Amino acid sequence: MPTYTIRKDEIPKLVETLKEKYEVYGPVPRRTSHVFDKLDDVSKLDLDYDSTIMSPKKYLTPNRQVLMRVGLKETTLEDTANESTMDTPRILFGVHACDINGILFLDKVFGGKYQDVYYASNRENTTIVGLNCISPCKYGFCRSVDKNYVFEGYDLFLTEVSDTHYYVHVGTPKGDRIITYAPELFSETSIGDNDLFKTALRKKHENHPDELYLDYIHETLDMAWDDEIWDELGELCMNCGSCAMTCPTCYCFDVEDDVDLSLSTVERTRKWDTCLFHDFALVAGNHNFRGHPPSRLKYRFYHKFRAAIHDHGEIACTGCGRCIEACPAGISIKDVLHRLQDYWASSPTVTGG
Amino acid sequence: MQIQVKRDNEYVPDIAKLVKKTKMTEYEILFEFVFDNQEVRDLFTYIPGQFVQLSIFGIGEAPFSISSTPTRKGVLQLGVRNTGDLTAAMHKLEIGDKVGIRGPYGNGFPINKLKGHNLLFVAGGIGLVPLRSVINYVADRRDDFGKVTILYGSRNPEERVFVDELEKTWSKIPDFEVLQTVDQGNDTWEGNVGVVTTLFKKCLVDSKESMALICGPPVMYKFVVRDLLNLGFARDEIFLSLERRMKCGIGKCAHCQVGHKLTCMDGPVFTYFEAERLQESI
Repeated sequence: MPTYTIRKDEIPKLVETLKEKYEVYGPVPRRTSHVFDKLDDVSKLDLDYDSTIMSPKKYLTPNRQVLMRVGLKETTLEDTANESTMDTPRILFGVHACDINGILFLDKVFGGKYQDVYYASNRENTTIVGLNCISPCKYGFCRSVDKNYVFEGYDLFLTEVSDTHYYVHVGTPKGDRIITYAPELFSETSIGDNDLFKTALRKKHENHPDELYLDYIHETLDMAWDDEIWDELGELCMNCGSCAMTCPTCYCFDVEDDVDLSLSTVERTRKWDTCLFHDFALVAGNHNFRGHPPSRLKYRFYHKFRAAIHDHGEIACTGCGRCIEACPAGISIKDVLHRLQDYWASSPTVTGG
Repeated sequence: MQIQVKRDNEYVPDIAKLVKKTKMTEYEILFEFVFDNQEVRDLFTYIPGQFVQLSIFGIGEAPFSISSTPTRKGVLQLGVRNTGDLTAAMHKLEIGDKVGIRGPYGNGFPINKLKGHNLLFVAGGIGLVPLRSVINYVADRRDDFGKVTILYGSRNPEERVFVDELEKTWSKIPDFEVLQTVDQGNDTWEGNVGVVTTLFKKCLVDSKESMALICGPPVMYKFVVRDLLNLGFARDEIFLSLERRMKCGIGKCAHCQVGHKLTCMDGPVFTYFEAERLQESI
């Protein structure tokens, strides 16, 4: 399997070259943090970023996605699924392992028995250039949830092996294509490069704390159903949904019919929704299956760490830490899991940190 | 095995036309739809207990249990209470108006398991809507099933749905027994007054060789199930149809999650054994 190196100072040139064929998105500074944004100005790309406010899920299942257009007069239906197969393919540049794992989780949600064609076409149209995290970010706990590395899900994957170079893994033919578009920027790796890569990985493993014990978390949750922690957190939680909006694996959506001013055309649109909102489980006749705020916060934990195991074989958390940073009430998913496991888990909990 | 038209995009409904509208009560209407597309019309079939997603374009989309039986081909009926924006718009539909329908979705009642058994139906209010699908299925395939007992509870005599079928059709079928009750009677009501569980004393329910099918308001399940267990029904001989908010119907939007399962994909029909293991289910 061929691997490559690329000089860090050649990255802007690579992005410029790719912009001839792709729309390229990557992390850029925004006030005190970073966001994924279109790289109109390549000099803004900052691969030395901690985390981004939103995860790159916004490019695969956008906050506002038109599902179909309906002409009200003759009841004509126009499927907009093909529109999301944009003319210009996209590159997401510099995606961390947690977010790649988040995308792999979304692949399972939007795949399965009923394929979600909107997600599938966005996904098909997207090339992912991953980026290894040699140092942990401020709020992340990816290693604790086993999401600090990637098996697959990337097309190219960059690992910083020195002050001057990235080591490049090619994951798919899509990634290989990038190499062929700018072959002069990539050098085939030498034995020395391979040693540098191994050293970088070792450094990564030393740097990343394994601070949370999550085995048997579903059992813990079974036992903790009536725990007072839920009422306690429910008092703090404002049900604002910031945690879910920033989460790379939260996928819940609402569907609304947006009618134009002339009342002739409807855009049936799906929008991000979250289980924390009051009307999430509200049914006709005003019966609310989760009317009590703590029950909604509790449900989010049970969905992520229990139901997701049933539905998709893994927990719905990549340890990216965005929800911890975003929560205005200061609720930390990490601390909550810690507390639950400390009290309920059938084995010792803390292995570090 | 269901044969259906394979959709490229599961979210895009088929256009259907309202062909019949029968007022059942002040708040409930029985709607009958026919698909525009001949191929869909030919291939559309379902299992009793399944639901469809119905669109009124410009208002929205919501799940509705199918109330007709697949044994009567070409008929798709939905019994709907006027209780929200979408159902209010539905009630204003006129014959010939177009709606969108996609589905059927969900598991439905396990017809093959029910075969050869005596069936006890316990319905509360418009909980009779999905159960009617099974009841008429059984009526049309009478030889495949044993004795049928239908217990129907309603708030008052005026709010009962499918009264003609209850009193003139089902009660006349051999080995069909229909008992009704209301929470509050009126001047002309001569039947039972009390919650639906009071009917258990009025009939001979033998739990042997029997299966129970329940649908009603959330508050009803606990009490009905308790009595059924006392009568000797096993936990997996009691089938419940659950209601939850749904947006997609195909396991994506997560609105209908109950415990660790999805009402739209794993349900809406669960055995009591399963429901007991799903947090917040009943």
